[in-house]
Amino acid sequence: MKSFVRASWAVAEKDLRIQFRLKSLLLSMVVFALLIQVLLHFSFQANPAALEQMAAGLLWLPVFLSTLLGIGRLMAIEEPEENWEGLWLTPADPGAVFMGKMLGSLALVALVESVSVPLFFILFNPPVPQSFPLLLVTLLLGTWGYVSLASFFSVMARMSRLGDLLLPILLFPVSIPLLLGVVRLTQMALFPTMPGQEGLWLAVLIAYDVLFTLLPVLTFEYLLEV
Amino acid sequence: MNSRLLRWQRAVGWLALVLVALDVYFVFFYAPTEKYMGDVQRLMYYHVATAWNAYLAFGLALVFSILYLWRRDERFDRWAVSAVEVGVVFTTLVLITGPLWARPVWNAWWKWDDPRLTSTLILWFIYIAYLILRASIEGPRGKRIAAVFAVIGFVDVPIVHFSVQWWSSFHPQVISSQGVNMTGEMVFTLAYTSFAFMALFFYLLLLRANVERIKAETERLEERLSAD
Repeated sequence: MKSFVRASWAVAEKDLRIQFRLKSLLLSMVVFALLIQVLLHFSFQANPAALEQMAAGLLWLPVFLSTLLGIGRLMAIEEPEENWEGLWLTPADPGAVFMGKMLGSLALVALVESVSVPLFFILFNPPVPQSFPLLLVTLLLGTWGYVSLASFFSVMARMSRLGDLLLPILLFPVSIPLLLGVVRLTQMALFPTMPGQEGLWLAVLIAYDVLFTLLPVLTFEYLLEV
Repeated sequence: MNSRLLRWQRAVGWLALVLVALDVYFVFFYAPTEKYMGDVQRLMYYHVATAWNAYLAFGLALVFSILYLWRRDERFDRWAVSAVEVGVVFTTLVLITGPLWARPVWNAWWKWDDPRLTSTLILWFIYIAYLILRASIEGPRGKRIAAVFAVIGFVDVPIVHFSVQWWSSFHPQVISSQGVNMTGEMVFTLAYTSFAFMALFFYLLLLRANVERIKAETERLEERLSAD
């Protein structure tokens, strides 16, 4: 267990160090997320009256799409010089390698959110949220599950002939329950008029996160094996 | 072994042909016309029969994928990909017959607030993704990755089902916990149609698996030729 944590941390730290030195990927992900917000605003003409219906989408789509775009680059770090093979040959558990890649990506996406979520409040001027803790928990759980599957499927997609194009095709159908959960919870967190059932949707998200963290950790070996 | 598989394929093929031909009589003449919906309700027999067999196909694909990851026997991979392919065809039929029925009855081709429609659509997308993935990575790694995806996709299916259901609902509950809301003839026709389509499913599965086997055999022979 201890070596598992240490190995994941080593991989995550390496990835984050590379990204903080390069800065270009993180910056492009943030700019891309903001651009999506602008595009969504113009294409749906989001006005205060329609905001209750649209808020969750305006908050989450920029995060989902910029993750989709950025995660391929994060996984690509391991491709030159047969790095995946090297990681497979290390004594570390392949699951720990996956955890490391996933946690590194999670940290980057969290940084993107730390810019795009406050900007959502500035740009669209929603009322003061009903519950800040619920919003924070939803952001954490939603991002965790999405990034975990995105990292796993990104490695699959990049091993195929289609490359990054395959990622949304694999990721979107499987992440529908997560999307439903975060949309409902975000609506409940932001607006007092929305119906309840927080417990149900939180349980869905937690179950989803546990399941789709465990399955990739247990099966990552099959992806790396040569 | 090979000729035995072919013999099975032929036998199941004839069985499926007879069963499905007889089914036309049951669906269109034997089963009574529904009081409110009229003849369009007869689509239900095909709709439900293909849906059940599609679930059977994806369940088999899961079993074969796990067996492949465990045993690394190429045959399991061939059965898995064949089952998914036939399952996707059946799900496509479900997605076509559903809206055809819904248009006169619900006055809309599609309703997003119906959970079974939405979850079937997502099921279809998941297994289409499997087929694209399986086709775009070569060699044993592609087979392994596709098998892993089949496991993840299948685990996701019940979660999709329930989450979409909690989102909201109004699919006709023909078979509910209160019992079956159909006449005896209708129940028989539905059961018979499901059985006939199961025979059809196994015929298509055998056919498809044989094609995969021949493809693998051809590859092996080509390799031997180029090695000489």
